[in-house]
Amino acid sequence: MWLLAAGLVLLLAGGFGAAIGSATVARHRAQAAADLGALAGAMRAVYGSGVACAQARRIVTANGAEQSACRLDGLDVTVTARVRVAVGTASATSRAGSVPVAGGNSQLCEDLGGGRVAVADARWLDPERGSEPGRYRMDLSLSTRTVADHTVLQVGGEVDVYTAPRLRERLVELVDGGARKVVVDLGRVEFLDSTGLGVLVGAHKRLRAAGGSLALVCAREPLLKIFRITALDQVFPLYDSVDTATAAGVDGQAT
Amino acid sequence: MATVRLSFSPEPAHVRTVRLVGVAVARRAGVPEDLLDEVRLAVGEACSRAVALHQRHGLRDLVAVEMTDTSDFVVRVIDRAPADGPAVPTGPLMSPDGLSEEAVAFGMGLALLTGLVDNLEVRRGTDGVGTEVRMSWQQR
Repeated sequence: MWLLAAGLVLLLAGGFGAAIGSATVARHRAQAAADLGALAGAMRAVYGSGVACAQARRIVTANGAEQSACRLDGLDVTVTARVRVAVGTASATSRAGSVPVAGGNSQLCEDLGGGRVAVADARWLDPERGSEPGRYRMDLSLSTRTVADHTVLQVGGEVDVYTAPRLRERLVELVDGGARKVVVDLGRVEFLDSTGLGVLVGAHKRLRAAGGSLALVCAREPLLKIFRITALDQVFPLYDSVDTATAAGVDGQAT
Repeated sequence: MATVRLSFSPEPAHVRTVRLVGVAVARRAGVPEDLLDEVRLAVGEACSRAVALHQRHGLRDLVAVEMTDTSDFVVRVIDRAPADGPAVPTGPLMSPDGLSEEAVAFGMGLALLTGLVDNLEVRRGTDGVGTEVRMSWQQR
């Protein structure tokens, strides 16, 4: 709730500081209210729609909007917020659900007894359903940089059956864009499953066919264990840092 | 003894939810902290496998998951896909060269399951449809 409360204060300050004269401002305000309301509701989703939607309404109202709809589907909460202005009404819908926050699983689960488990204090917005993308997503992060003549793709978060397609797309883009010495830095990866391994093997093959090479940076024991179990430690050159990967000359592995 | 059951639509996005619940129930059941990463991965692999099978056969049936806290911590993941090909890994891992990405992932998934789970059984569903992946961990 701290993050949400801090966001709330900022939004309120911004809201009162600026004159709400345009439809654009009203729309942004409705969207922000819907986003925060949905998030607040999702944190209470396990207590049922009454509690979840009441919480959502409090946050929507505090953000200067009116909650016109609230629905609970499973653990996902969909909130519609409305802001009235002189020129009409702006409306926005946002949907939020519960997923693990990077690195904090132990704080997330609360046993309610009777086999019910609360997955609380987890926040995200679903970009496919129209909310502002990327704001609360913590599932997968990708960033590319160049180190010497290597292309380094830093991967963070969770690589699983849901997020692996995005990793695949990025790797294909890099190879199509001409990258040949590619280092995938898994240092910030919290979770990697077989789908992610399949994507890495695919990139390895694609690069080799193009005369390039793929090296991995991976120093954490749980991840290394996955590579050992699947015998992929014999397929990929594994390094403990980006520096050693680029210094070792990935090109040495290519031929 | 306690049981937690859930079913989910065969969508990749839900697999993470099951992983999270799986770890929560395992922790509550007294599975040691240092095994929870393995439980998380194995539950995810079993569910990813079920989702992939349902999608391959165009099935919208729910995937069922049951977690039981007896003397061991037991997780059962039950799909409804028709049986085709070996359900259990056989022989050593093939070289990943020459296999499609999906095939690699499928093989790696089974390799991870066998490598991570104390006690793994893959058997045909009780009514002859689908498969059940049964995993158990000792509560040391």
